[in-house]
Amino acid sequence: MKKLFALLLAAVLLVGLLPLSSFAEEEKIVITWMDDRTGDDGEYIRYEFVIKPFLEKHPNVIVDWQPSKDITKQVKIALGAGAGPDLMSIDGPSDALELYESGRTIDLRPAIEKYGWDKTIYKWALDVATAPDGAVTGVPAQYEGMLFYGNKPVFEEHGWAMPTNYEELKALAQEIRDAGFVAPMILGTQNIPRRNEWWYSTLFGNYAGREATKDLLEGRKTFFDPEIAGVFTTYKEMWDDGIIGNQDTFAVTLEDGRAMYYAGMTAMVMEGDWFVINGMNNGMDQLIALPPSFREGIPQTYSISVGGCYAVNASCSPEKQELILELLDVIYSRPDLYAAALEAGDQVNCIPLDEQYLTGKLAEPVVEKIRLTDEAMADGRIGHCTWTFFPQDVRVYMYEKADAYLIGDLSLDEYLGEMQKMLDVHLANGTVPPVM
Amino acid sequence: MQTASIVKKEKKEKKWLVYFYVLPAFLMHLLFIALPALTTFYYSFFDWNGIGAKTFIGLQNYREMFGDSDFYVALVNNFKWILVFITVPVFLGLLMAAWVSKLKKTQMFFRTVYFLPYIIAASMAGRIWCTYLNPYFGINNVFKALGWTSLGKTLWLGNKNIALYSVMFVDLWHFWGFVMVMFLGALQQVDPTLYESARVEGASKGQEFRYITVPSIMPTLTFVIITIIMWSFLTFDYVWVMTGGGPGNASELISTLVYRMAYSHYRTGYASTICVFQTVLSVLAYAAMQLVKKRGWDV
Repeated sequence: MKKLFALLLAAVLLVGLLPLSSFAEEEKIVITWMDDRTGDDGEYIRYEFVIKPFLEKHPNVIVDWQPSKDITKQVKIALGAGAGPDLMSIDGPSDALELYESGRTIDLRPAIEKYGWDKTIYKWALDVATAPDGAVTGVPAQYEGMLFYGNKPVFEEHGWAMPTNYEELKALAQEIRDAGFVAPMILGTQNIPRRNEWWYSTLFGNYAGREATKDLLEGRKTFFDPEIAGVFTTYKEMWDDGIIGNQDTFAVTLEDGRAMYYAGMTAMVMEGDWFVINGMNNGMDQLIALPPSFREGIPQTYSISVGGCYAVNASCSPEKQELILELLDVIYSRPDLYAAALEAGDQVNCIPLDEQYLTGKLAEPVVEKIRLTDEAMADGRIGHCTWTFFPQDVRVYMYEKADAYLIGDLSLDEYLGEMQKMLDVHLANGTVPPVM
Repeated sequence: MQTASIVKKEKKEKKWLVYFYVLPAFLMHLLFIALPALTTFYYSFFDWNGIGAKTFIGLQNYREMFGDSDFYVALVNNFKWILVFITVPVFLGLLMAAWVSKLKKTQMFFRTVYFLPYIIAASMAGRIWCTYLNPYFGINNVFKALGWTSLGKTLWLGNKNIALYSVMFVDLWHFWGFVMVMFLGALQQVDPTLYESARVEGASKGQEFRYITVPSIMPTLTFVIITIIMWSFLTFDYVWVMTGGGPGNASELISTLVYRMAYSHYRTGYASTICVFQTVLSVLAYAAMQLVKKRGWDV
């Protein structure tokens, strides 16, 4: 009797399980995406204009979107531990190259060709993300460059114009001081020493010039050549003369420096493209211009960089990799969604935006900025941002030791000599990132 | 005979049971503390960026460390840090604890007030103080308003001669209340009859402090000093939040140097080498504590 009861019970349980297994939900594939877009705005932009359209085609997929403010660091730690996200939006091509060379991410060249992204992505951006062996280490995401911004009402009130050369900048700086501002502009490096390289990038483009910088990175010039050394001496001169603060850059944070500009304590600021949105979000009516020329014969140049790359974890299965590429394809093959993302405050991707989207809902400062930088790119007036084109250790040393150089703890010769030593190793090993 | 055997067996079983209870914590310690610490030592012999292939380079990282001027700056700054922290908060904490211990009704109030900064997260306190020390809208404006022009122009975090001490001041502001509470607890354990006897013998307040208070709280005093030394070698948060080790490397500490090497320069091998050195210093401080303990102070 007991045996019969046990058998009956087992049978009932089995029968009970049958419908469960037959009606069980189809197994979902989870794609983890660690992204540099953060906050509610970032989530909205990513979900609305990338993830949602993708999920409409792939209902069996879950995109686990993970925002991160310090993405490269987190990705490197996670990948170093043998884990990490499936898709990652890392800081730029030099990081992408490092991850690829470490065998952590895949070559995206086949995907570029398969989806035809090479027809939409700017060639210079794709070149920069290409390893010496021809592999594409990361799909270029947004581009960014350095610009000058001016407080428009203040400039109009005083009859000032944005400077087009160094002499004009010096004269304007004096006028701004005379008008009672605490400084023409404030450079806050206290919490972000990397801000030094924003200026260095500007000066590589607008003092050294594109060709001289290219010569440096390809070994035909050294840091001691006058065009290159001038980048550093001009920076110190501006620091000493109080054009970028009152020799107090290390005592002011980035946020405080911006707050002073918003509050009208300073009249100008030198930042990247991203500051168009920052300005709008803080109610600023701004003049936007290319940085001035710092040397005769060098045109006003837009120092440019690939501000981010999408890389795919090599440990993903081929099926998952395919899905990830389809997800990325939404970004590169849907100009309508791209334009809508821009309207919602997203950054400018490394793909041209059709003229039809430059009118209408897109905010005026964004359009103004796009036209300005498109024009510079079309004329070839583009320079090299250090974080994209310089070897990692050279650029880190450059911005980390800028303080020491500015306050006189490090001589110009020592400063340049150390950078040259590092660059020489990269030139010998062929590990300088691709130069445009 | 049989009973003895059973008792012996039970004892043996209990012994194994104790090991069984200790095992989870031991395994956790092994996995998350001991092994990573040992791997740090292992990595110190490699040229490694943290993600790629490791190249064995023997003692090269150690040779580089001992020839690295940034390392010496950080080391000297760490010693400056120790010197200030084993004097100022200890003296201040002891003095204030002695006073606060005399209070009756308001003791809790003062204990709370002085301890309060300690519960604020370092990153938050650091950011708040960055604003106070901002040359344009911080305390400099107050100094200027008071007519102290020279003080009003001081770059508290931007002057290479001052930055480290400014950060120390903020950490002291945060830390001394903790030391005071430690001393207060120790003072409350001192037998009051000792003071009564001393008073009967005609001892002055100074003599009471010198011959009763200090010897009675010696274990706490020693513990506080040795702990401060160990913590000082590991200190990181305030410097990183407030100056990032700058200007130049004026406020660089060993911990900030390790972090920069590991996460800015991506030189995990070299950073591990500095970590090993840092650990040696902490172990030496711990050994000093054990030595003191052996000499009779029950730390």
